[in-house]
Amino acid sequence: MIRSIRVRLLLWYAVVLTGVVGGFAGLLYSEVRAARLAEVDAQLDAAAASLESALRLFPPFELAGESPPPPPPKKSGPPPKKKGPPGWPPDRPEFGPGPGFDGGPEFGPKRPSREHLMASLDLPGPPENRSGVLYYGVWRSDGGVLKANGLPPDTLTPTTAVPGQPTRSFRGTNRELVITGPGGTAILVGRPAEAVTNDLTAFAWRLAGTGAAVLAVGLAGGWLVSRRIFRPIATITDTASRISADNLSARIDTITVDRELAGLADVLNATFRRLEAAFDRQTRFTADASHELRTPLAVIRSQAELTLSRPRTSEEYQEAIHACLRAAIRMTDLIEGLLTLARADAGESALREPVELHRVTGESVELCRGLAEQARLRLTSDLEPVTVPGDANGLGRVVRNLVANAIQYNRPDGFVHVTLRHEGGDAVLTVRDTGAGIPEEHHAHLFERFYRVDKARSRATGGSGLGLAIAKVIVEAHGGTIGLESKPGQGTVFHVRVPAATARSNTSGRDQGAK
Amino acid sequence: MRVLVIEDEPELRRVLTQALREDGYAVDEAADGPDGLFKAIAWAYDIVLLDLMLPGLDGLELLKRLRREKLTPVLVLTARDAVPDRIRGLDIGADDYVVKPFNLAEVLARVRALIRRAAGQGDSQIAVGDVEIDTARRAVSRAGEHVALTAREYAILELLVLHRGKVLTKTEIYDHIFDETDDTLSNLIEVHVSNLRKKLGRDLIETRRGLGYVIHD
Repeated sequence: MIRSIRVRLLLWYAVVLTGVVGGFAGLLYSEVRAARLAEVDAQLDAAAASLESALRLFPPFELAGESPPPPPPKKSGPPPKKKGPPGWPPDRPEFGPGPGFDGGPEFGPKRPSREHLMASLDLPGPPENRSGVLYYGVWRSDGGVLKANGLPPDTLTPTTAVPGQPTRSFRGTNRELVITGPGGTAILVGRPAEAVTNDLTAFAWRLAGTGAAVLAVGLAGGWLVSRRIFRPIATITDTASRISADNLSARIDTITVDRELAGLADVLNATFRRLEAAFDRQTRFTADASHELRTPLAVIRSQAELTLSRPRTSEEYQEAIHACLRAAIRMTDLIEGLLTLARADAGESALREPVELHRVTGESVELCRGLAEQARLRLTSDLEPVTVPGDANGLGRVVRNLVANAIQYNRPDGFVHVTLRHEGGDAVLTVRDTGAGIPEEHHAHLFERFYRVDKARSRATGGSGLGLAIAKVIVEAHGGTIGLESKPGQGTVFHVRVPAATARSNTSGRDQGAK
Repeated sequence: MRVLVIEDEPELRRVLTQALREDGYAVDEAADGPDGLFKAIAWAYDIVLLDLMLPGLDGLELLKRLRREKLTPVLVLTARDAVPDRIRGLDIGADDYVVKPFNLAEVLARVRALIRRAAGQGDSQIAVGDVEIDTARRAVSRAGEHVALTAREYAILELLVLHRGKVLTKTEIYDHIFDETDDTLSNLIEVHVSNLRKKLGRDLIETRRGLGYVIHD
């Protein structure tokens, strides 16, 4: 199998073009040949017809090659002249086929002379016109030659292929016509057709030459077109190979690409865009993570340098060490969050033990109560018992992150309300706050790592910018979904939907718990 | 010398402020972009320390707006250490760039260098007559003899020396020497100047009545 599409295309062109050109040339040739032969044949037909009509005047014995019958008694009447068959009965003065040929008795004794008949047995037209062009032979029914003119020497007594039907054929370069004349005679008319065959041969060569030229032009055109077709593919390949992790911004120029390839180019460009976006996200994440780690590190380092720069009181040393500790705790939280995300990214599966989500949620809400009181918020919950298969620590973290967020982004004297429902096989957790709400344009990015709706509030309250991202990966690891509804000025509701344990796994969970 | 620290991380802001104050600077603080921009435009700071990731108003945007108003030297402190970030910051009008976590001593040295450069002074050693001032060590000597100055006295001397030949009003001196938390009375400056004259000679600081003080080259 040929591996090159271009060569295969070209072969296909060649086959089709050869077929079309060859077929057309063949048809043309056969039509022209038929027309040219028809001309020759018409000439032969005319000659044969003339010979035949001359033969009709011959007495039958002459045509059969027998001796003439005894002359019948003479009849009165003018002797026939040059024209017209003599010996016709007076009531048959006209020429033409008729019963006169059938019977001898009608022939009168004054029939035309044999010489005269023989002379009339010739081709029409003046002799100089036909000499060297047409030749003929007339054979009696016994096979003897009645008359011949210019016949090629090796001519045998001709027969028609189908009795009574004229036969046309080539003998060498000569075209010949054989017909059956009256009284079983055979008439052969022929002429050299060299000029015709030569013309036809030349015509065939011209056709072949033209065909070859058309084929060559067609193939060359095909090669050029295929090059044009494949050049954009080469360009696309080039561009695609130039795109690497270092340079993801290159794109295939879709303006110059043909329509058929534009789809491919668009698809590739879209892939590159997604790839670039993914790389950008990764780069931004790394930069953000590094930024978040550098800030507490800067605190630790500069605090230590400052403290060591001169002698301090023990209160100053204590305060300095506290500051370093706070920064270290912040870094620890951050690293823990990053690790959680990294594990989720690596696809490490969470535990699958039956978790009494209402209990986990209740405990997490209680952990946040102190925060809520500090912020002068009412923290309430309404929890239906639901058991889900999963990781209690992770789910607790989801609840804590959502509740902490709701507390952090609330208004003074507002409330945070947590509900848990068992709805159609799912555990549905909602956390409602009375904060300022989150503008629509942030919703899509809210669960991205380090994404902050308003940077103003995060640093002072110590959020890492990872809480919602972590909640999302944990929920998704449980096969669930997380989302929000928010109305500016009215607050936000985060809802988490996690598939609940079926009755059977519930039971098995209890069994395990009993062990 | 008066410094503005614009940093949203409270711990870091506290540490920087304390370090600068211990070095004799008058330090104001701003915890977010809008407050920082307001203060930077409202007061005559000798230098602004600026974090880039700020709530309310991005550090680069703050810098751009500040540059429309003032040429106050700006030292950018940031955790973003990528070269394009630094280039962008410097192009917008930052005078220097320090990446977190930084060396505190280095930051203080850069602060001194930027203040010197803004005053058209290349060297940290400045001599006026027989008085020599080492701005790096914050030490003053007269005819080779070390002279002990209080932080305020040194600050006033440094300010006048860095702006030699220029008459500084009491208000100007006040603005550069005291931060917003100081409620010292402005007439205390006269006390400090009088003490400086006792320690460094009567002729070093000239009084222009109704205008202010000047040290001649």
